[in-house]
Amino acid sequence: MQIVEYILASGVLLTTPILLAAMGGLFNRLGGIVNIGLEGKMLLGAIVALLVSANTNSWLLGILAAAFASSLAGLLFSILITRLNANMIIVGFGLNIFIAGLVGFYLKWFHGSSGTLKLENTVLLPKISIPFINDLPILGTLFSNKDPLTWISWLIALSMPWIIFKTRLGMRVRCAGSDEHVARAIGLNVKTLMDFSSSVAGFFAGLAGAHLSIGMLGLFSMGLISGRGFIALAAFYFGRNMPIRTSLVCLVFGILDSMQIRLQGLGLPSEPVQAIPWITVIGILSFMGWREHRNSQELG
Amino acid sequence: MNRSKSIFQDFLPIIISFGVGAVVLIFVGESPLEIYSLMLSEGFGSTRRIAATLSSATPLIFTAVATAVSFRSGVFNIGIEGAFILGGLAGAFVGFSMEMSHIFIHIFFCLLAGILVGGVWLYLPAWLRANWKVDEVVTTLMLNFIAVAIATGLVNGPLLAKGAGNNMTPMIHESAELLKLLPPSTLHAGFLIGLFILILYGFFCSNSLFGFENKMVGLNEFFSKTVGINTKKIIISSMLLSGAIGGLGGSCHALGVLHRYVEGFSPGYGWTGMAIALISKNSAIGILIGSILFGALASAGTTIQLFSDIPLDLIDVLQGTVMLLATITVFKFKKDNADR
Amino acid sequence: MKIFQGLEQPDAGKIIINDQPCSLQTPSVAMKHGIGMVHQEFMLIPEFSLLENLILGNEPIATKALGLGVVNFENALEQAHKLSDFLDIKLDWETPTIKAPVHIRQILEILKLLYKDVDVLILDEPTAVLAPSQVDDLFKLLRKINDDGKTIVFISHKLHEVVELAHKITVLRKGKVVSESLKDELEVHELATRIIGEEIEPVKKTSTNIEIKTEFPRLKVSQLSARSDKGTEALEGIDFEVSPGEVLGVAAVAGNGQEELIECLAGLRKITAGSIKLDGKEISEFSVSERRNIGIGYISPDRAHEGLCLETSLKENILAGQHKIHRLAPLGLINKKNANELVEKKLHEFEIVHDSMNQNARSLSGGNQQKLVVSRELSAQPKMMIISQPTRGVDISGRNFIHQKILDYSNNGGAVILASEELDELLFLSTKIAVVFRGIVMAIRDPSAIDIGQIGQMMLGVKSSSIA
Repeated sequence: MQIVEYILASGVLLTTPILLAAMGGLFNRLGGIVNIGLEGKMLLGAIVALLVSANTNSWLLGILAAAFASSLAGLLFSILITRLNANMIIVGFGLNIFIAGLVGFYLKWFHGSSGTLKLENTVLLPKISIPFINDLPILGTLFSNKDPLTWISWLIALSMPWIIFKTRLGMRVRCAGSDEHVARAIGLNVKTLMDFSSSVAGFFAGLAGAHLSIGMLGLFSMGLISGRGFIALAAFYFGRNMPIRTSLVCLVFGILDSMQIRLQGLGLPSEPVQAIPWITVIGILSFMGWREHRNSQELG
Repeated sequence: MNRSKSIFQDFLPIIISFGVGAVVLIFVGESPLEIYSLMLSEGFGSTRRIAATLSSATPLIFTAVATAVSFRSGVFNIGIEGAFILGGLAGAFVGFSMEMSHIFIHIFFCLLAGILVGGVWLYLPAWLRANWKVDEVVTTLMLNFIAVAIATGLVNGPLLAKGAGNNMTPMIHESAELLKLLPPSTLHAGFLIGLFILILYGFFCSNSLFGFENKMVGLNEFFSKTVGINTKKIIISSMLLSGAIGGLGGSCHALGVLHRYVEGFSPGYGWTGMAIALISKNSAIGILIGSILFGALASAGTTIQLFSDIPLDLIDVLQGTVMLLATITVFKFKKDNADR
Repeated sequence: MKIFQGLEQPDAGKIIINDQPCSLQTPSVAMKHGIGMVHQEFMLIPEFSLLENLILGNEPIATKALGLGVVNFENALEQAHKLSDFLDIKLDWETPTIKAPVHIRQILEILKLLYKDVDVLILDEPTAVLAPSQVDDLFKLLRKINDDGKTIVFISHKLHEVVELAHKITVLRKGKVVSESLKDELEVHELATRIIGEEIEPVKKTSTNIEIKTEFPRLKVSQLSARSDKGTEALEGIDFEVSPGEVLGVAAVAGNGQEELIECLAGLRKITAGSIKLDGKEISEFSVSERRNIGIGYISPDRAHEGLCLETSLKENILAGQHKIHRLAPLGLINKKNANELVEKKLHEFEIVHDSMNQNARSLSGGNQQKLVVSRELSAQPKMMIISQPTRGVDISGRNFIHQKILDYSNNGGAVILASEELDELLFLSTKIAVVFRGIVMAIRDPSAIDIGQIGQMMLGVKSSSIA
């Protein structure tokens, strides 16, 4: 039972960056752009958070700077797509590689490091301990001593449905992403709405990266993100753009992440567990494709 | 006038990317001219340097051609990285696990393994796309990660070399090694195989029926279907061919350079190949030039570390910029000449 | 109608609304002037609920809340109910639009306009997607709206509907107003004649068609049924036969199943019932390429996207799909010399004006482009040609040329099924004419034994028994 609780507790922590990035990616996709560049924006957020936190002794400034930097990156990525007709998939990949190059260059040049960075005076995210909750049996382990970003991530996840479905902004973003013609006929500025959704995605990806660097170990390394940007993508594809569904999927992925780390520690193969997110996405897309095919009037 | 605008737009990404690199260099107090000319001499300055460049270009030729075959048919296959890796593993496996007398026979089977594994690997996304219109971008992207998981799992498990700390397979038998062309450089016969594939690709594009139909499906799928081209067959066979070429490339890489399969087998050859296919717009000549260019960047990048402090990551900055800009349209103009 | 919506600008003339001349620059300006249109392609977001689609763009706001704008859905629902109650309809406002049946979506489009408080509602072929009972409901709805003081412009080819619904009927032909009359002023068949036009003379062909007697008719279609993309029943049991040497012309007004019929024959659309037999062999499950291989050629009505690949050369457009017939690619390698020879021959034979066979298809004129399509298809010498709108957008000399080629093909024993919106073309080329209305064959007639007025009336739904 100990181990299950442990896996769940660390699973929740590992879920946070995935959840944040997934929420941003989901919003972006509702706006009509598939954001393959989440990975790069998370990397950017991670290093910015570390640097700012160390230099200002404030974790809050750290995460805000990270969010801001990544949302700018998100805007740049989006403008290439909406105003210059670039292909969103290629630009996403390009952004990942570009950011990795810049960050790696910066690390080596200014810090003489070959991939990792640890700074003095880095302020980690504080652990919030709510006495009442700590004493609850299972929820206690799950929710005690978690950092602010974890709390924020779940707040966002729970308020996403409201934002998307109950606000004018949400409706208009969804409209722009669903059918450009209809949006234009109503007088909406499609490109601006799309760019806005990308900046939001960047914002959350930055927060996600910040969590990975100053949320747990206070360390940055080039391999820090290790594919979580793509896991977030898998999550909102699997969750079919519904926030609650997606956040539950993120939680599952986070727990799987925790499990596979454990397996590695025990010397057991962790790859099958690692591959689960990818396989589930292929499965769900195939299912949806089959359904569409069944309903179409085309021959064959 | 339109012709020169078109050529300019084709080269724009590369020009801008060098510009961006120059900005970064200036920002850190280095001279772009100095660094770029250093890269030029390190890439092409002597026979040995050229050999190193061509050696670095070899895997890129395969991945670029592989990607181009799919892209040309309008299928956004981004799964070549996975095909390359699994092809390499398969090739290495046949290389170390089977004893064969004759070098050509052994190499033949290793390469065949790479081709088969690479091709079969992409069958599922191909079928899903052709029959159920499932988005091939996401499926092939996911498959890449699954491929890495499979390869890592196998390399750390049943295929692990005895006594090896690092995650690697045993060395392949000498009978499976691809000849070195210009010792002591790493240039190996795989380069010649790559060139051969490139020439075949050129033929494919200009002379073959398959290549013609592949291109028509990519230009206009509705039209192709209406005139009686079997679009499903073309889409699937193009993807299989893509995967086969990618797998062949991986196998050559294992046999010629590494002589085994190691974790970290591909430092993104698939992605670089994709960038090359994009800026060259799937043309054979363009792929040759692009592969050599990026090969030079990669090999020069490592050696200039000896002469300057410029981090290797500058290459990523250049490559990333190229990809960011590869698909933008700045000039909207009528194409009066059907090219390629 | 595009001008009234602000999507296009007039070259001349004035628009006067409420005695004020005005210029409708954009759709929003048109809306402000109180003009709204229900399009044939609905402007609805499939994932949204009916309510959300209703209020999109004019959402009632509860609070500003950080610029997000929280939508007051209660208020929206209230207003929605008010509208639907006033018009005496029941709608489940929470249904996702994609699940709602077509006629409900159309009602939603109308309600959207009322929600935005327009004064003039324009409906473009609204009954194309409706079943007869739904048409009655629509008319009741429109009358209520009209009673409330709104103006309605109802565009339709369906004579009986126009006659039933309208106070005033205006006939447009080729961009000109041909007739304006009040309800009950004109008899139905008079109206029909005004719509079709009296100047068309059926031209007698000089060549005669040779009818080759075979055991089976070349093409036999029985009880053919199919659905449109919108989910409505487009074809409801079509029967006809075509023999070698015959040209069967399909006369129908757009939206009555003609397009779907052609697609089913070509292999682009599933059939829901019935059979298609070529020389006695069932082919309804055959793919497009399979049909081509057994000798069916197809000239698509959509030259730009289906008939031609405009982005590539003339040469490639002629060669695409043709390699088997002309044996151009033995062993998978293209015989360039033979290919080039064939292309030159065809370009010459069809008098296609060009500089080089490598020039882009887009650079050709409309007429030459269509000749390119026709040349490719006929050169394969198929047993049967399915032709749709062969001379759309083609000039006079091109038209005559293409017509002659079709007649030559038919005289040589080919079987043709021809769909065209140009009645004179149909009459000129066809040996038999099948009139299709609402997915069924109204009648099959010899064009020399019937006049245009009668065909016109049948196309517009007037039953053959009541034709004057």
